[in-house]
Amino acid sequence: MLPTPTYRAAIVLAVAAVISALGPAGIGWVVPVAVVGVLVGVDAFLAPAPWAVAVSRELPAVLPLDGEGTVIWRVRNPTERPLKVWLADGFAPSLGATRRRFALSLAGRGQQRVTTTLHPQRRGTFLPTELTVRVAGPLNLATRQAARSLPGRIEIHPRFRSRSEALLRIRRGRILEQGRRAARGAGTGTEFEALRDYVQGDEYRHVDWAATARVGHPVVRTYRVERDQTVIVLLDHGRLMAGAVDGVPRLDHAMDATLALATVTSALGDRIGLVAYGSRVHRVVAPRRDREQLRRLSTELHALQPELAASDHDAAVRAVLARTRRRALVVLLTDLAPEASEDTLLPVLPSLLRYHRVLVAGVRDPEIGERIDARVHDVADVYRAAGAATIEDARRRVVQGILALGAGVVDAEPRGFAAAVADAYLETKTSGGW
Amino acid sequence: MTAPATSSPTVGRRTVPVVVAALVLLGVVLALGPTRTGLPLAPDAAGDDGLLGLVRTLEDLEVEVEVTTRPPESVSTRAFVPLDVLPERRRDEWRTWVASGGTLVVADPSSRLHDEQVVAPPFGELMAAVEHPPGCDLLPAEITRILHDRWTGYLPPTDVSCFDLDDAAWLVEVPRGDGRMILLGSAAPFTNRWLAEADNAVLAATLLGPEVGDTLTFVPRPSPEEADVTLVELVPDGVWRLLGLVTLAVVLAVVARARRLGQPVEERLPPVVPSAELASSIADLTRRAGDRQGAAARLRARARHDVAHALGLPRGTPPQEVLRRLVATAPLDETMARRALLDDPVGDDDELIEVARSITTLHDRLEGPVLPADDGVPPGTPTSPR
Repeated sequence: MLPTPTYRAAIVLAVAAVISALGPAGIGWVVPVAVVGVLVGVDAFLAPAPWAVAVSRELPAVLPLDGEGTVIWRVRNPTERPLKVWLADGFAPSLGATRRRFALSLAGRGQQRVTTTLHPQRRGTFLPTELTVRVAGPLNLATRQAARSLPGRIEIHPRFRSRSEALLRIRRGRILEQGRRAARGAGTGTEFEALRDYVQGDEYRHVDWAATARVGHPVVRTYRVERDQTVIVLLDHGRLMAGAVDGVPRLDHAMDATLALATVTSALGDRIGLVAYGSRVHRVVAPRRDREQLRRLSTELHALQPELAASDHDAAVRAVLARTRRRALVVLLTDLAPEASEDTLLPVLPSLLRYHRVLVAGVRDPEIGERIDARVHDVADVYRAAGAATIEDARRRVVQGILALGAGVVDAEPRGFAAAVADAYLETKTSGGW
Repeated sequence: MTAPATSSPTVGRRTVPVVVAALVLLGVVLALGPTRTGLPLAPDAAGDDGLLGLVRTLEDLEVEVEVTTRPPESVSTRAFVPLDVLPERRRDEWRTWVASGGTLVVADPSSRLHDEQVVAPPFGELMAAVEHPPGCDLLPAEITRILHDRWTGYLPPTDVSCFDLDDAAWLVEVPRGDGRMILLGSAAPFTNRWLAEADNAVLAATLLGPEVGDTLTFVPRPSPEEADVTLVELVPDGVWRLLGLVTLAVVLAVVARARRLGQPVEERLPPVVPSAELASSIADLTRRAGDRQGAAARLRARARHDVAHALGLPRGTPPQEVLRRLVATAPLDETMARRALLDDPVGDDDELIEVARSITTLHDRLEGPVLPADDGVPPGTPTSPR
């Protein structure tokens, strides 16, 4: 790249212009221009090549969407004399870097470290590949600049806003389980736990007659809530999930619910897997129970964006049926919009319900309700309310259709959506599993 | 060492140098422009570049100095043009005067009173500090050298030329008709700054007032009414040079600023559409179609649904029955309740607004919006699968 003059060169020329104007008339204009031109040329010649400056970058591998991270650059001066260096890293605006351009003054053979903070504004994988380095000559009259390849990778994972809600659900799940034990088998768990002596209040149906005959006094079976059950999250990321509710796409609300569900299920001993689909199945995470599953799900979800195509619910259901032999709770996170659900979702639910328990969850837009309940000032308000009522009425029809098929429904506003999904899971689990 | 990542007050950083540069430029223009000591080469200017000293010297030699832009009637006098900014018609008068026998001393090489070729190389001006013997017979022997700061010659030298340098001469005599023009490379030797140097005063006296009692017509800058020079022509050369170089400096600054440090990073953002967009579209279409009845029907259906839920009525209860039960249960204005619940025709926008307000009133009486009853799934409440 051609060297570029600096502001200092312009200032030198301006000063020369003043001297020329005030000094002897014979100076003319050629002399100042020639002198400054020569100085700029010599300075550019003496400037080191931009690619000779050693630059390294440290990126955080993973950041949550609502988190922040630090990027570190280390720059080393390859020459003996002081050097002025400018850096510009190729960070996408959504990474929310406080700064991506720096001016550094390096001592001879010196090294400097500069940092900036990232405040990511959207999920995804970011691949900064290019770093631009500009180097000034010794007189700072000219600079040389070049773009250098410096590949990096940073994953911005979905925001897990409902983490505290999920932790509360874990406690609640454990309390429910313990309470059931304290009630000596009065719970409705189905997994055999132990035999114990009958006490007043035990259900007769829990009496183990064979054991009673052996020991000569009444013995009952105790049960616990089933563990190691499977939960499959069917995550729709078709076009309807691009709709923003409370400023956040439905898909991100659904991801939050997925992470909440994964946190609760793993803590309560169940396995959770994922099938993400749009016009086809894009991501599959096999059900697991270990603590790493939350990270795996987060990793798989982070780059998932709404697809501008209709969702193929049938393909998703077939994917679940093909991969999951064991009976599972299938949590379908989608939009309960009638235009898609009535024609494509409702017809495929029966085949899923034949083998699994199904919970369909969608985020309700609070703005719809606000429009309906808003005070009327003019006729435009009335039409606005009528439009919202149309949407809500259609949504209610879809909910009724899903319930009629035998699936459960969570239709909650964003603030409590993830918690409502987790509650529905807990309710299902403590009422006998699936 | 870690450089903190902070933003800098770029506006302040840019403003200061701009203000300083503007002030410097203003100062230079003022320095180069007219001063209290008079315009350059003016007969009454006492500054370094004025000619007041010349006038006084000639007057001391008892030479009568007349300051006017008009040629004198007599051709026996001499005239001196230190700077030619005369209107063209006045020049013609001077040419005529010279042709009829007058002697005109022109010290402005760029004057259009003559058509001699001028040599003024930029480096020559700088390097040829003029201290040069005349080497001609036109001037008396007492004049051995003159001294000033610039050298401009006429090319090729005419028969009578003095102060030759290479192929050009600083002083030439050119005959015109019955008269003559004496052309000087510059009026600088006669300025207050240089007049006392070397033999400059003798040269002035020789050329402009050779005899006691002579009359010299000093041709000054014409008055604004008389001159046909433009404002631009009145700007000193130094100012033009300054402006030219400052413009070049600004171009350099622009080039320095224009070079972007790092390319803009392209980023494809995921699609985001407001979720309530469909509701807005339905509202707009309904309004555009003027479907007041449809709008009212949707609102009334929802109101009936909510009222039925509040009263514990089953789904599908006829509107009349809902109304009857409502009026029987709560002390309500029946007209208002009827307007809110029954699908009576809606004639105009005002009636439509009344329907909506009646529904709002009804909701308020029922203590706010009521959750649906017949679907069994109040919003926000999870329902377990069977």
